[in-house]
Amino acid sequence: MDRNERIGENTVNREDLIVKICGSAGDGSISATEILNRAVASMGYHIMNFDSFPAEIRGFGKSCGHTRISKNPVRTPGDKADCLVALDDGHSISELKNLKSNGIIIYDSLPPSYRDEDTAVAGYIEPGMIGYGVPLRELSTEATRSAKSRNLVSLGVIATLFNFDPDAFVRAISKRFSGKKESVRTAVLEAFRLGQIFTSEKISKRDAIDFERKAYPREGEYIIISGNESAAQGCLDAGIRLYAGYPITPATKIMEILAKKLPIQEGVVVQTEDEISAVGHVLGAGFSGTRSATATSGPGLCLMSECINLGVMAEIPMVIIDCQRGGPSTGLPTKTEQSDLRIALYGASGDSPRPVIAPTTVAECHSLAMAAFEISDAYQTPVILLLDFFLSNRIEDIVPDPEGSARWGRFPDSIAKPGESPYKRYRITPSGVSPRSMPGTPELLFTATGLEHTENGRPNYDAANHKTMTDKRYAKLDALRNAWSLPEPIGDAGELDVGVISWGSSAGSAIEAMEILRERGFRVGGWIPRLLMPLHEDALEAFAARCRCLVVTEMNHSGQFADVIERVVHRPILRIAKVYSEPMPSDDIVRIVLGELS
Amino acid sequence: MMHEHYVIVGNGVTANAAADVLRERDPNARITMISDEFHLFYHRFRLPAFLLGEASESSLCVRPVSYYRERNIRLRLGQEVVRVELDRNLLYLKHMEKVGYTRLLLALGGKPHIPEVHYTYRHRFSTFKTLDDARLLRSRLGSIRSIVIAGGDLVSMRFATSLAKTGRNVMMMLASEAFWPLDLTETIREECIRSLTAKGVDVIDSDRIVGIDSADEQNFEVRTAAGLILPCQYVGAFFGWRPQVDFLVRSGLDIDRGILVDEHLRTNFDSVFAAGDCAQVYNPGIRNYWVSIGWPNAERLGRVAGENMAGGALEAGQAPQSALEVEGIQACTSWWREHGSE
Amino acid sequence: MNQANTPDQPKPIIHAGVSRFLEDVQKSGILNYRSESLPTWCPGCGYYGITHGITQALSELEIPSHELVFVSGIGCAGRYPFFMKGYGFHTIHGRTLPIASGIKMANPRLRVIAVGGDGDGFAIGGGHLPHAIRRNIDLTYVVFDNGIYGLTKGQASPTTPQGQITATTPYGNPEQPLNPTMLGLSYGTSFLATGYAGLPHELLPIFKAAFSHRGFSLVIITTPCVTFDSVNITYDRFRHLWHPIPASHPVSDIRSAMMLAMSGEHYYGVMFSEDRPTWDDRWETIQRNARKK
Repeated sequence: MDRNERIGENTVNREDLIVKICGSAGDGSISATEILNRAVASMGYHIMNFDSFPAEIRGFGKSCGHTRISKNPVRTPGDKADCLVALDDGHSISELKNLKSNGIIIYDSLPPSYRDEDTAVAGYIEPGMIGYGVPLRELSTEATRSAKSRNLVSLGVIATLFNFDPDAFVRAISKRFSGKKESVRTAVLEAFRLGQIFTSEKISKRDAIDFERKAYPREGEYIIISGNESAAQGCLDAGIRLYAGYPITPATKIMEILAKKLPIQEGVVVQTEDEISAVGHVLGAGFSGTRSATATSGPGLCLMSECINLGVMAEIPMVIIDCQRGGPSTGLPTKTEQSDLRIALYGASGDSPRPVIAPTTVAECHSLAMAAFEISDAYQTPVILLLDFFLSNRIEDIVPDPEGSARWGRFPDSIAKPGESPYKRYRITPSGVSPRSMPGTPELLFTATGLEHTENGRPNYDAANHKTMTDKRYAKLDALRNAWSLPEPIGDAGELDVGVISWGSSAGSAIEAMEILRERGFRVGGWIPRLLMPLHEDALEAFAARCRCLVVTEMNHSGQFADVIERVVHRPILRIAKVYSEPMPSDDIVRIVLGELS
Repeated sequence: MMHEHYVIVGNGVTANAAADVLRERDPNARITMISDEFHLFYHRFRLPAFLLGEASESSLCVRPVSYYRERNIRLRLGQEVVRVELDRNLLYLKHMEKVGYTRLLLALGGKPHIPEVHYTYRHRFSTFKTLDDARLLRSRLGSIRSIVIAGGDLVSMRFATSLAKTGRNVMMMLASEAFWPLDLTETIREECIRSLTAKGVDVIDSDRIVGIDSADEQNFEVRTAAGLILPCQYVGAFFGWRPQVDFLVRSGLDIDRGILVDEHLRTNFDSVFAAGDCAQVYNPGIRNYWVSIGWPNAERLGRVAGENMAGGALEAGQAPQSALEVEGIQACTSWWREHGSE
Repeated sequence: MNQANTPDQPKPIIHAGVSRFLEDVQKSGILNYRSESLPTWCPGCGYYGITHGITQALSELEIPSHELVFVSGIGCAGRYPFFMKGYGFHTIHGRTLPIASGIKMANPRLRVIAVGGDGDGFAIGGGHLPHAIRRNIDLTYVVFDNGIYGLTKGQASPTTPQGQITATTPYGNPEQPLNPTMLGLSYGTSFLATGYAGLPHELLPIFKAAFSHRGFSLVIITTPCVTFDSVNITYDRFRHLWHPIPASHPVSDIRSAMMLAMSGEHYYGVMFSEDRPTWDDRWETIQRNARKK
């Protein structure tokens, strides 16, 4: 009999809980999730919040907050939820499939009237699941004279049911409503309190989840932000003065944040007529010596590829953030996928070297965005930063890295000095990096061009010159590889049963899978590079040599990173390359690897 | 074509037997089972063994969830019917959902009965009917040394002797109304007392409880009419079961002590059937009603109900002549022995 | 569009007879804005005249060459930055305006002059013009309109007349041409001037006005392609067709400007000019407001 089919079998107390709060837009499920995040984070728990989006416009549709709470750093949002709060029965019914077979449902036990058959979420509670009926609407109305605070009542239920410190919730709610009138604040706190009271007095607890009011001390000041917010902050901290973009899911949030914050830093945000123009503006700004960025998604990156290629040829610093989504073409705007790797690495006419960086966590979105600007300036090249829908939208508690971009290496700029005569904008140097001149500087005039050119920037089609300049452009990748801190392998040392290679947002799933495999007694290690172009091929070969089974995991169909790895290691690799549309489930990795090992 | 929607209230042996027949007879019909218990269909007779740790919780389960999924039977557990509108073919569930049916089977089973005379201290009685009851007692068992068992129905015998075997002090107040709906004949009564005493149970006869005191809701003192004061940590009510028909009051359904059904197990509403412990079945032969007791009876009635709901015309017949006799002391201990030894 | 068959860097050939003329030119200061590379345009190309007008205007306005950025796309006009003294960016086809805008937005102290042909500006890059105009970004966009794709050897362009035979329209161009002047005006440009490369001396006041204008200035110069167009824009045909914009034309009246643009006549001069807050002006306000919040 399946584990979940045993009668009464329940979740053990493991201080790891996945909560979904589901309602219609306007029911406050997202805002309740935010309060939950803040409250538990203030107790020292780690969170990962990844709300599920309906297919298209949010409007009046479903809105579902999904948060994983754990005493350990959270690497994935987890697969199925332990607890579903149903603020709206209709929308919640379709969420039940995302609830564990022994999960908990908190539903409104006293709606204004009887619901028709099969429209009440409680009617769908499967054997093994646990339903707690709470008169959410009634308690909400009692507290605030409105049904709108059902979300806060439900927080009272959660806090009490799972034995969290209620004061942390009170503080989080107070903060959330700090801009409101005193009477409103009192009322919403009352809604929370009524949820608490009802739970402690009327609910006989049948689940076994108990956080015992535990709190864990935490080092450093944490903040709760999304990947997009983190990347946007990275842009601000790198000192950009121009952002150009065209709205596209899931990158738009970056533009919205910068539209608000950049003007305060004397910066400019331009919403262009298309992605071509956006990246053109960034290219122009980079030419003029100003840090600037654009963010887009796959379809936009396709449009941008020509200007990026010009940036490579003319050696212009520019940063392009690609928040990947399901493809090809318009694809799946609100689903996650890591299938733009190939276009990021190679998408151009000709031989077009460009650094590509992939953060794996929300914290890294910040430090690697900053690093992207550093290396873009230092190596005078476009740099592509690869996020994806999942990483862009997931919210984590992070302690900002005081080292910032320095964690990834030191990349000094090469600036030309006046008096250098004749000034050669594209002078051949061992590193491939030529001293750069900023327009407006007397005596260091030059003309940049997308044509092949000589050291002084004049168009030239001579074969020998073309080879020299191609070598020069590739030499910059070597220089960057040497300056970038080596990707350290993680996990066990020495010979490994399984070596897992992963990148970007799905690295968390790989690490989680590694942990499960280690618990099963395998020797497991991982190699997760952030710098995908250029790759540290020696380090990769050294790692691969230690592995009996070499696995590459990624969220795309064709194994785009596996192709890159295979070319270096020259040995069979186990490709776990799938389009999940959702964050990669770690147990899928475990299942496939175990199948391979047996 | 409109498919039938068979709704069965209950998830015991009668309900499950009926569901099986309905699925065999009508592969396309919707079948829904509704039970206020959270647990899958389990062997009640194994509860004492579970209580003493001799049986695991999972071994109590008769059928896994997959059984129902494979047969496309919708199992609504932990969902309580609170009201019915039988002339509109509607059930009202506690969580505020209306459920319609084309044919309804009430296989409600019974709930532990506590006689009116004990009304003022009824909350100090514990019951031992469901898995939840057993779980609760199992979790408390370590701190229980003395037990008073009031009543003395079919389940109590095994319960008392099981606990006595563990060295606990078990006192049994044999009440006159025990064994309802059977009359406790003098012969049976004596047979019972002899058997229980032999197994280490103290039987207190011809006395009755007049009060239960408790300072902390953990330790109790049971006062009797004869002036006895029995200290204990558990007072079990074993006065037999009553059909769970509260929600059917004023529904228009003919109810006596149980739901009255004809020989085809049909109630006075054409589309509503009843079977099992909750039903009083008319037998045209004896021109009287009879009540089923015991697992095999309940299962048989469930199958009859299923056949008739699907359009058959089987007669429930009478309880086997021997049943009334056999349901005496032999049967009341044998039905669980019989199945418990599977 | 291809970049094929561009000849290698030509060596300057200076004939003795022109030395006195050269002296005059040197004195005029316009050579301060010319690079060491000599243009690769065909002899007789109208672009020489345009270049003359631009350098004259820059010289008279005394704009330091290191503050100048010439931005071009692809086409015969694409080569323009190489022949000029200043910073230059020879970009890709059609993207002149976004890149020029980015340069100006990122460093407002720079004087940005974007140049391009009719193909670059109205075909492949046609989507960018209205938006650069909407932003009123303070740069000058000079369109060298020769009604033909010259660099790729004579294919139809968006301003090629219907029926004209070109390399890609051997049976006559099936499409009707754009009216670039009307286009600029209806997009709402804050400055528009027209000129004719065959009248190089008339270009000086036009470019001076354009470079002095705060905001987006669109300058459309009709220029003969002596190599690939012998029927439409030719020196012979256009010699007597051009008139100065009448002195009575109110330069800030958009309706009057549109009347001129729609008249079918060929006018040169400043057709429309209006003082409006530029992109930088608007952003100063935005930044001030943002800091206040």
